[in-house]
Amino acid sequence: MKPTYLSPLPLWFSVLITLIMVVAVRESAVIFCQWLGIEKAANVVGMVVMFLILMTWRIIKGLPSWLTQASNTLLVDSGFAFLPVSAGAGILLFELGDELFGFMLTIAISTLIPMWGLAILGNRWLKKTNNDDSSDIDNIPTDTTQVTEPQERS
Amino acid sequence: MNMDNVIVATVAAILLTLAAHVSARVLARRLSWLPMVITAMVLVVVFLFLVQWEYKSYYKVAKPIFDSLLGYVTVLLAIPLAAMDFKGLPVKRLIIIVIIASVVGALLPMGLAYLLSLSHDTMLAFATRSVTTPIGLSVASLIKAPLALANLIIIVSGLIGATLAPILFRNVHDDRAKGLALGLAAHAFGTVEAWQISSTAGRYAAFGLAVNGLLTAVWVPIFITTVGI
Repeated sequence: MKPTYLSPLPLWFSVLITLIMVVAVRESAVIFCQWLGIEKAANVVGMVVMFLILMTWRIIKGLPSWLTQASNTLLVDSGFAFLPVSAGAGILLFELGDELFGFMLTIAISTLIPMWGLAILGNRWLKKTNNDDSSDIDNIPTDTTQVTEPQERS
Repeated sequence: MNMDNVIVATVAAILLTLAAHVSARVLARRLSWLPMVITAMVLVVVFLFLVQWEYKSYYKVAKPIFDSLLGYVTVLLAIPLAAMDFKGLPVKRLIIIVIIASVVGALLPMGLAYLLSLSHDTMLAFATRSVTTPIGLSVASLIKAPLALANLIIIVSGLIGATLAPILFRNVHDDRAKGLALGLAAHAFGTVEAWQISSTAGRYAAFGLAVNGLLTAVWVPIFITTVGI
């Protein structure tokens, strides 16, 4: 598997290409899933297909840094997509009536205890390992003379 | 409502949501302790109140556009997942963490709902607690759980997790562990919050969210059908 390689593109252009890829894959998944009669699975199918495409790309050539950079930029603002539905969560909550207390208690316990436990477990188990994530754009050298061509990498 | 009105209302809904999102982003930069997701959500409700727009009408026109955006975000999550470098990482331990998160994420809330005598439908909907909305809705329809309730559970647990994460993570210093826990337990909201911590935390959160979602989507429907809950 080949590491991320430096491939400088203007941010706006890399975001645009990434968006086109994401929209094309998701809309194709929607059409495919509608044809199979499993419309609700379209987003999951799209994600799996995108993952398989990218893994193939990574194995053959290695992923370019602009892709990681663009996805980082887009994901920082991904909360925008959830805003309308999350604003309605509070309104729906008060329609639960007698179940509200048990409902909230169940959510709070089953979210916070596992999250805390997993963070402690992750902190211990990842402690002695390398934190040099080569997909991190911060770790990609900015000096282009330091970067080898993707085909020269192992 | 005629077509022109629908278009105007949709544009207005997008602008209102965008205004809330941008304002929350500006506030979160100035006041780092402010959770961006919650701030944006509260601002949407405040803006709706100020313009006297009923939530149901707003959501009706916003839904088609934002459902697509939700799908694009899910597909986008494949990028950090595919770009992750596992070199030097204990992959076996990561797999164990993901399996624990998936099993506990579904069985703990279902067990608690049963102990607290919540209705059968509510208990079933809790099986989707630890997965992201698009995957959770697919799982809910497969196990015949009420979709609206499953959606609500996913949103509220994500909001609680993302909001209280800074307090719970006071003794956790590794961004990878923070991100992983946020993605595994608080799915998309946790992932958004993790991206505010650092890009490393964001990528680990995206990894946790995606792998947990895929794993849960496979075993939960099989388990519930087999056990006959």
